[in-house]
Formats: sequence, C-alpha cells, structure tokens
Amino acid sequence: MGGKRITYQNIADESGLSVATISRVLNKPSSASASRNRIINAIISLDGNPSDFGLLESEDKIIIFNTPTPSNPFYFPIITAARERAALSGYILLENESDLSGDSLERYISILNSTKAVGSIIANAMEKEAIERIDRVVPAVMCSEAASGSSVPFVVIDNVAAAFNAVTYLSSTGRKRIAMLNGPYSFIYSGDRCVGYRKALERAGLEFRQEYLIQVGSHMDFDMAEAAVRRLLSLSTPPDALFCISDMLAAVAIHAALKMGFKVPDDIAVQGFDDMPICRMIKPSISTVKQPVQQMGMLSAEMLLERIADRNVHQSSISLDTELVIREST
Amino acid sequence: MKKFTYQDIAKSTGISIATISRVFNNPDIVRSDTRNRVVEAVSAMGLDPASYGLLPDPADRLIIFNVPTLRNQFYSPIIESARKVAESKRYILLINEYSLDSDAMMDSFMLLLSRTRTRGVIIANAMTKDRIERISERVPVVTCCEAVPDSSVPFVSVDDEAAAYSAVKYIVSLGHRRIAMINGPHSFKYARSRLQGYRRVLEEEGIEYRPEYIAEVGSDMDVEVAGAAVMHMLNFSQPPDSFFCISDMLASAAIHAAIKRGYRVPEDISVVGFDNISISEMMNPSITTIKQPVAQLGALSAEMVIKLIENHDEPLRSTYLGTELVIRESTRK
Repeated sequence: MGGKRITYQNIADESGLSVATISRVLNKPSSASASRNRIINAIISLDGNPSDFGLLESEDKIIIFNTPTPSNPFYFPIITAARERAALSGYILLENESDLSGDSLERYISILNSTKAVGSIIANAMEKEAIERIDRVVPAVMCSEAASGSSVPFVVIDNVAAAFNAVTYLSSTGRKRIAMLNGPYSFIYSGDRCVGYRKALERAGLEFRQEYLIQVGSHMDFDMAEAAVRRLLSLSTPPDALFCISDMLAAVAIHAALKMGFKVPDDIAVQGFDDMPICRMIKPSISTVKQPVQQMGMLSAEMLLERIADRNVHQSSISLDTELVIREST
Repeated sequence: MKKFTYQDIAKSTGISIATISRVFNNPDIVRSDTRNRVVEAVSAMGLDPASYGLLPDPADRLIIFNVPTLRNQFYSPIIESARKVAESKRYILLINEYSLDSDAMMDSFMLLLSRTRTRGVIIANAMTKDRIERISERVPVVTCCEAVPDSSVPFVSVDDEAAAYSAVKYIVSLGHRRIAMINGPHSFKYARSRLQGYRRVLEEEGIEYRPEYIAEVGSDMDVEVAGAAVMHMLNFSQPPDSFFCISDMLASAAIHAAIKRGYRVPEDISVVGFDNISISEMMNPSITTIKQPVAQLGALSAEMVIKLIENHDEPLRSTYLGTELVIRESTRK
C-alpha cells in the first residue's frame, strides 16, 4: 500500500485524538478501549495496516451464534446476552440461521472459515457426528440443546424437572386429564419434557393415555397445532388441561379452545413454556415456564471463550433450573 | 456418482496432486485462484463441484444485516427473505444487533466490517446522514425500512405515511372521532411519516389535533410503556375512543389496558396495530393491522446491496413499497 509512512500526527488528524493519547494506546496495544477502536479505524482510513502499529495482531475475535431456521424469538434474549458477554472480552458475535444438515452444514463450515471465526455457539438439535465436525473446525459449545454421546459441552435447562413441575402443578389444581402438545423428537428437549410429563402423571396417580400425547412439529406450525387441539377437544373424553412446549403453541391452543366454545381455564387449563412476550398479549394471560435466558446466553459465551483459550481444559456442562410462572390460563 | 481421480484433475490443470488434495481436505490454506481452477476442472468434467464438498469460494462474500434489536419480531421474516436471496447469489448473510446511535458504537461497527471483510451492509436502524455516509464511504450499504433524509444511500421502505393514512381513515369510517396514536421514537423516519399520515386524516376530517392523544415509546418497543400510556389517556376527562398503534405488540398492550380499565374491545374502543406479525391473528380479539410486504423488503434490500457490491457504478432506484390493511376483530364493525 503506497510508500507513505503514517505518522502519529496523521492518525491524530484522522481520528480526532491527541498525539499523546495515540502514543499511550500504542504502547499498550492489547487493552481494549474506545480510543483503540478509533485509532484502528483511522489507520484503516489512511490505507495503513493496523498490525504495523502492533494493533489487531490476531484478527481472531469473531464468534458465530447459530440458531435453527425459521427463527424462533425464544433465542433472541439468549443471543443478546451472549453478545454482551462476548463483547466484554473483546469478541464480536454475529448470528446465523441454518439447519446445519447436508449442504447447509457445509455452508456453515465455509462461513466459519471465510469469516475467520474462532468459535461458535450452536442452538440446534445436533447429531454427534455433525457437532463434532463443526467443533473440529473451531471450538463449539451447544446452547439449549445437547448432542447425546458427544464431548462438546453444553448449557441447557433441566427439561425433565421443568415438565415434571409444570404437570404436577396442573394436577394440583384438580386436573385429571392432562394432555401434552410436544415438539419434534429430533430435539432433546422434546424427549426430556415427555419424560417429565409421564413421571408427573405417575406421581399424581393419573393414567397416561396415548391419545393425549400429540407431537405438533415446530413452534410455527399453527395450523397443525390448531387441528390437533380441535381433535383433542372433540374426543369423547376430552382433556381438562393442555401442557404445551411453547407459549406460541399455548396461544394457538387457547385460540382454538375459545373458538370451540370452551372456557379457559374453567373448562380447560392451558400451560405454555418459555415466558415469551406473547404470554401477556393473549387473554387469558398464559401460565408458563420461564427459562433463564440471560444466564444461558452468558454462560454459553463464557464456556466458549474458555474453550477457545484452551481446548483441552475439561468443561462441565451446565443444567439450569427453570421457574413456573402462574397467570390466568391455568 | 461418477468418479474422478486427483490424477485426472492434475492432468487437466497442471496442479500437483498434493495441492489438489488440500483443496478438498484443507481448503483454507489454498490460494483462491488455485482452488477456483480445481473447481472449474471438476465442472468441465460435467460434474457438480458442490456434491464433492467444493462450494463456491467463500472468501469475501459476507453481507451483514444490522438490526437495532432482535426483540422486534417484525425483522425476522425480512431477514429470512434477505438471506434466501443472498444464498441464491452465493453470498453469506449474517445478523448483527447494534444500536449504532453513538460514536463508540459506530467505531465498533466499522471495526467489525474490516475484521470480517464484509462486502456489503443492510441497515434497518434509524441513521443520521453523517453516520450512514461514514459507512457508505467504506462499503456498499442499503437501508431497509428506514430512509435517511438528505442522503443518497439507496433504501427499500414502505410508504409509512400512506399506510398510516389508510389505517386512521378506516378508524374514522367506523365512526370514531377521538383517535389516539401510540407511536415509535421520533428519531425514526417511519414514526415521523406515520404521524404525518395520522395528521393528514385529522385535517381532512376536520378533527382537532390533540397532542395529549399522542404517546411515544422507546426504540425497544416496551409494551409496558405503551400500556401505561393508554391507561393514562383513558383516565382523561375526554378519553380517546380508538387507538392507532405502530406495532401489533403495542396494540395488544393497548387492548389489555382498555380491558383492564373496564372497556370492551371493539365495542367501546377500537384498536389498530401495524406489521401483521404472526401472532396478531392469535390474539383475542385478533388485531386489525397493516400488513407489511416483509418478504419483498428483505429480498429487495439484498438484491440492491448485491448489485452495489458487483457494480459500483450502477445507479439504484430506491423503492417505496405498498401495504395492506387487514381487518380483524379489534375494530368496531
């Protein structure tokens, strides 16, 4: 880039900082600060190379957070918390949405390479082979899901306990015919929450009925969910409570039940999961299970940063507790 | 699958087998042009490079879509359609969530662009002329949903003024005369334009403009603030009889507040939202709203920024897209 040498005065003029400040920052180039960013930007604007000044020695500061597609608003506060934690240590976090299977897995790996990312946080349900493939490119941690049999660490909630507590609560309100609207079994959470549901029924001395356990697919599957609820409520012995694995599903269930002339919660209690803003937008407001999303984001980022620093340090995966939130729908 | 050997490729390209092997197994350390020659050689054999794990050269094909907050569900379908267009043209689209409303944030953002070797940017934030032009000096940029006044940076937006006009005109047609507006921050162009549309209807209908009937929430779209504002207005000696809200999230807060205060929606109070987010149908009452052409907003933004990336000289025409009023249960019959 041209033979022109960039002086501290050039940088001062370009950045608006004093020569004294520039000198101070360049003598301690590793400490992050707003001035440092301005200096780097000024050097780049002058067509210079920041590493000539001991800055940006390692460009390795990008992390990618991948969520499944289509986007589920549930992840947003987790991503924000992860971003904030990563930023404290000088890392940039960008978000990608991909199914991470077949071609899209290859594409994700090429994204990691071309952006020179140093790590990724994966929120998808993953097979051991796939997550370990990603982890071989750059360190990965999983958030909200775990891959069975894999050594890649994860931050999850205790899904079994969460479901157990929610269904136990429903039976404590006198409900005896509790149905469950579950998600796809490719997700670990679906299997675990079903386990919790069945344990709670057993503990409460309630019969498990196969026709009361319905899998409705991803959270956005409104039509399928509505049809499933209609079928349930048309049975000769309809349920008197619905445990749904997301608030979106609960909203659909309430909508369908009300349309069919049922009263919520008087005729049928509806329980959601996630504590999304929709809970307070629907009437009756939705009882739910609150996930510690801030912690999940923060801990995933921290776990990843530790892994990036030293891949060989053993990391314990983390299982967090959830909180039952009781509103008007139960 | 028809097979080929590294030998075949070595023969047609003159590249060593060791290097060819690296292209397939360790592509990161191979030069771009070498890699492309191998990809071409595979294509020339009538085979699809992608089925051998040779995707198009990933370097330097990054587009960043920046949003002020992920919490606004309105952006999700826009991002999705932008991503589809980017992928179809072999670009990578990643999302960044920065507020870009301070010099420090701008500095961080500019740094992010250099470090990631971003080729183009789509910005959904409200921007000042200075800030957007600082970005456009460095990299091709298009704004989505927000148009920056006095700037030549191309944008894809909706005609917010016309959309608000049709919503408020509809409210008046139902017999309402005391129409309140729950708006976004006036730093956003969409908020200023929608207020203009609202005021145009009032003027046409000979309705007095009352500043106490206007409330503004922050850019985080806090529904609590909206609910409180509605409560406050319903306590006036002359309360509004209808609410025009600039998002469905705020509309639902308005409905709740009205019901809590003892009013029936829509019998006593009509409420109109904006955006047609997926849950607006699910509410009870379901929300009358303005449907935004979200797929087009995303797709056109991506197309425009890619055109800019690939041909800096082509002048691009900014676009105002139309919207549609969707009538549901939250407005009086």
